[in-house]
Amino acid sequence: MLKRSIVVAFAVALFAIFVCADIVRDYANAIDNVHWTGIPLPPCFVDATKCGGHWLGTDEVGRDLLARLIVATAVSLGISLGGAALELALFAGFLLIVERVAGSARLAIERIAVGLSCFCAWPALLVIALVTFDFEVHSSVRVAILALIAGALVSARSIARLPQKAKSWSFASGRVIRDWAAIILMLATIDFFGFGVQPPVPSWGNMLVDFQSNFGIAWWAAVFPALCIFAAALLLEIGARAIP
Amino acid sequence: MILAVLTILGAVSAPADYARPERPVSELLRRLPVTTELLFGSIIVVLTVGVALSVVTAMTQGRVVKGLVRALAISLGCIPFFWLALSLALCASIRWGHQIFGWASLDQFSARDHLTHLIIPACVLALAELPIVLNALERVQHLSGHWRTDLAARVSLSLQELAWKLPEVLGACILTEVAFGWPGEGRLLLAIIRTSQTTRAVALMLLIAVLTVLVRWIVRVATGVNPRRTETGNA
Repeated sequence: MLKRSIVVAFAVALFAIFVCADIVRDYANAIDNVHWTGIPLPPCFVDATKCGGHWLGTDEVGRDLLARLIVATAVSLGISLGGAALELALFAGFLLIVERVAGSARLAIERIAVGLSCFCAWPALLVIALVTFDFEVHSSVRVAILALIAGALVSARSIARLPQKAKSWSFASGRVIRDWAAIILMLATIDFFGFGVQPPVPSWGNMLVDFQSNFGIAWWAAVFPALCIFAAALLLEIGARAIP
Repeated sequence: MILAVLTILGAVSAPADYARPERPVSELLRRLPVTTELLFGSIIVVLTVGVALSVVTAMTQGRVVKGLVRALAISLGCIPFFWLALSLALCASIRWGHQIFGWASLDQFSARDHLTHLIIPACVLALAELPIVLNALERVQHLSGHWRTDLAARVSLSLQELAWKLPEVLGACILTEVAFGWPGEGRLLLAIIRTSQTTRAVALMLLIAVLTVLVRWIVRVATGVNPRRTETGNA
């Protein structure tokens, strides 16, 4: 009972973060446009006299970091949620097929899933995107397609290892939550290499594009987006482990 | 897809995509030993560290040690590896300079220089593999008293899990090659994708998939257990 409560609390917390980020996104955009200073300012907890009211400081070109992180949270969580939703649908479809159709159907699907699991996660995502549309579509369409392909790839990996005799529905729910974390990490990697969400729309991955040079002039801009990715993945991983 | 397969077999040269510069097909295979060396080095490191931590956990049987090892595995699995690899490369370059970057071939460098260039990237890549090994070794909680049996069981289990999750390991290997400037398959793949060389990208991806199947089969034969294990550990 306690574990189920923990899981529910985690899921609600993550969803609340996503909804709040979405609600304040317009406000965050307004802050970002108004307080353009042009130079990196430190966070207020580092130097309250120089932060200029920017709680988490500004990035390497002077944009408010907290505002960008709020927008990036809504973007990154929203996009990865699409991939996780597809995985949930694929898992549900697979389990329904297993319950209603002959064992040969399960075997065939598992064989296909094992084959798909041989492909590297995020590089395969890029190659599939390159083959299907050569990245020559609108950024939002591209990102949506990448998220769905990511969901399909991680679900193939999970279906390939579905226990034969264990309670598959409980395994599936834990698996989907854990794979949501994997999708977040995959999409962040793709955004970092410039194939996903395009600037000026911030995402956790593309905020880290110049992080190596930022370590010298604005370390907070190199650390906080990575911290957000870590926190989201950790929250989901702990939530998945809490499921019996 | 057929063209990609034939490219791997070397039967045809991949046609130039939109008049972009064409890379020789042999480059796909020439870079393979570089990537393989990095992978082997990291596997040696991760087996050493992972098995040692597992043995310490089994010997102490303490909840604190077990909790710390589990926390380490979970934390490493949640850190974005591209950030971790590039940050560690930056720290290493500040500490040791640019001598740690790049691959030092044995034709032009001494064995000592070769190992110097290998050790740090291998250790960084091992950080991506450590959560996989530690999660697998959680199933082995006790020591039998025969150190060879314990060691063999732990190494076998680790190799099975690494074989099954080889695609994830290869993804981390690509990031390590980018961070440390290793001229392996990973950097080639990224360059191919950036220049939209579709046929070569598919060929390289298929090559990686075929090698993954081969490695899983080898591990299956060597350990006698199917690496496609369930999450509960049933073979």
